[in-house]
Amino acid sequence: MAATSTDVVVEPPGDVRCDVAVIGSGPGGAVTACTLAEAGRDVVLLEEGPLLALEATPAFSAQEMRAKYRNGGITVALGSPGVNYAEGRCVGGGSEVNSGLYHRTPHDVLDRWRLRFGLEHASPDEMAPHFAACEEDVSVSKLPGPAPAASLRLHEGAGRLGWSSIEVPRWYRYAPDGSSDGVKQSMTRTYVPRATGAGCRLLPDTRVARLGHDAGRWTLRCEPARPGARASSFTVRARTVFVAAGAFQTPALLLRSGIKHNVGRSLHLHPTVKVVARFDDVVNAPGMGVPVHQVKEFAPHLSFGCSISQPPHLALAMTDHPERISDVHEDWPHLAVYYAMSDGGVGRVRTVPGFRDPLVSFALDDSDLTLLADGLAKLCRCLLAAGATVLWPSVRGCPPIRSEADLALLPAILPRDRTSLMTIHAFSTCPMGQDRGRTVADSFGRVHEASGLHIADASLLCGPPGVNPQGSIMAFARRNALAFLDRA
Amino acid sequence: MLPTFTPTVSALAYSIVRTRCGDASPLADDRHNRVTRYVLAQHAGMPDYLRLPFAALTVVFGLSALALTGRTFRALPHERRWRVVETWRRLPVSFARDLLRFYEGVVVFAWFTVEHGGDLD
Repeated sequence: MAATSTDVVVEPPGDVRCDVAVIGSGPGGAVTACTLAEAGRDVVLLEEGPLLALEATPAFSAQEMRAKYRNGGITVALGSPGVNYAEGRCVGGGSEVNSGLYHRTPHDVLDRWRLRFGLEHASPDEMAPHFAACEEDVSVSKLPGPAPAASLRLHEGAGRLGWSSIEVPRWYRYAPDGSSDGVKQSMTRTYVPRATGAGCRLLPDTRVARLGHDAGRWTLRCEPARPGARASSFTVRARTVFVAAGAFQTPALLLRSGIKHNVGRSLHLHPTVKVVARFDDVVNAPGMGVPVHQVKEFAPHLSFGCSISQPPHLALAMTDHPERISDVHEDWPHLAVYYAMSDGGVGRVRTVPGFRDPLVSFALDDSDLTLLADGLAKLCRCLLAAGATVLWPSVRGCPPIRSEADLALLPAILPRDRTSLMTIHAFSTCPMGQDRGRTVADSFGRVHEASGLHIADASLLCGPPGVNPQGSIMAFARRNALAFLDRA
Repeated sequence: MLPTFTPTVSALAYSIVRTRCGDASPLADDRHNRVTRYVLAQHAGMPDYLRLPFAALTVVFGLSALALTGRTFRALPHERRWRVVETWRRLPVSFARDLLRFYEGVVVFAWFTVEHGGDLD
């Protein structure tokens, strides 16, 4: 079932009143809205981006970047080096544009959050039912058929080195014939239509500019986000608000609204460095599926995987070796993009008077860049073991790696002025827990300094989980929404 | 938008395609125009605090050719344009490299999208 236009309030006739307003329709907001609406609450779900079907644009395409990403995918955390990042801006948020890879929060990560942030009632046993429920809702499953060749190569390389490598499940519904074709169970396929089916009103193309509190209700000053759709702003009034606008927009909204305690001060990412690998035999093909293997031998601080490797992505990954870009035209069936992902660095999200977009900065110290360099070297070693004949790391000026001996040519610390880093994982800008000195919200996402205001997205995660975060976001959103219903 | 911004972006996109993407087809080819429109659209969608500085820096880049060669960037033949690009790439300031890295990334991604059967609009 997909969300349809009949479920959607395109232009509210005036101010809107509701019991609960949920801001943002990504994995955190959609799960929250669905859980509350199905419990009989009067819910309004607001989304700055448009409502588009999952299949409205080809996956991982230039069209998708323009239609479903914030700023067309041109966003950067400023620093030395800067880190390019991408976030979804459409109904369903990041779930509409990501690869759909699923992990539960690792047990040691939950333990660390308990010890450092005073996060209560979030032990692996206490979280397990929430993970299980979300996994059923979005059909978390492994590929029924063979994985893409480029993905298998990484797995084989790890196996030859005796390193741990796993096939990561995805939230996908596969055809009963056992083929690997399937449909991603994004939020517009699952929780959003369930929410609207239970009476939730969905307002796409609506930006919440500011929150206020008046006479026991929250007031959301909303602006139309679709050019020409509506001339004037309007207000949503709600007893309770869940902010789930993502790790960048949630702190920005709180800061614009005068809520500042610890907000936006502890941004964490998974900084990622890429490598283009060439194999003598064919590893890539039109329509190659999403690679599903990840090397976890050095987790949680380092993980390796294979990226989307269509020709435009290969060419982009090759821009640090510009003389080889044109080779991609003919050679792409032999090429694939791989990544080493770390958990180092810390950043900030700020608002700048007079500008709509938040200013994001991120600092990596020498130890962080050493860790990433170590990850790059290990990834290269794994790919050589997998049979790669040439490797081009995304470090400008770095020579191609053709053998184990060439690994000595890699920098021991990634050069700040020549390294291209990116990420699609961001979190921790409003961490949760009972330690008020470190957190913005309590262990269930209630903002310390604002009654009736909750957070329900990646902002809450206390630090980098070291794995794809959507599973953690959904499970905590479900847990916190149910706790809210229990208290009411 | 700032004067000379669009012509400079267009000229830079043409030069990047020709140098980096192995294409030497006639400049009137519609594929180049589609790539240029995509680059301009991506610039227009940038975070607002970056948009104007990037446009201003692009104009400065275009005008720097005047100081280096006596002609604006868009008026130069391809080989001389690329010498201006290389000069900027060697400047000891990160914003000059960041500017070119942005354009190179967007142009290359768009060109390979078009060349391999994808749409940009």
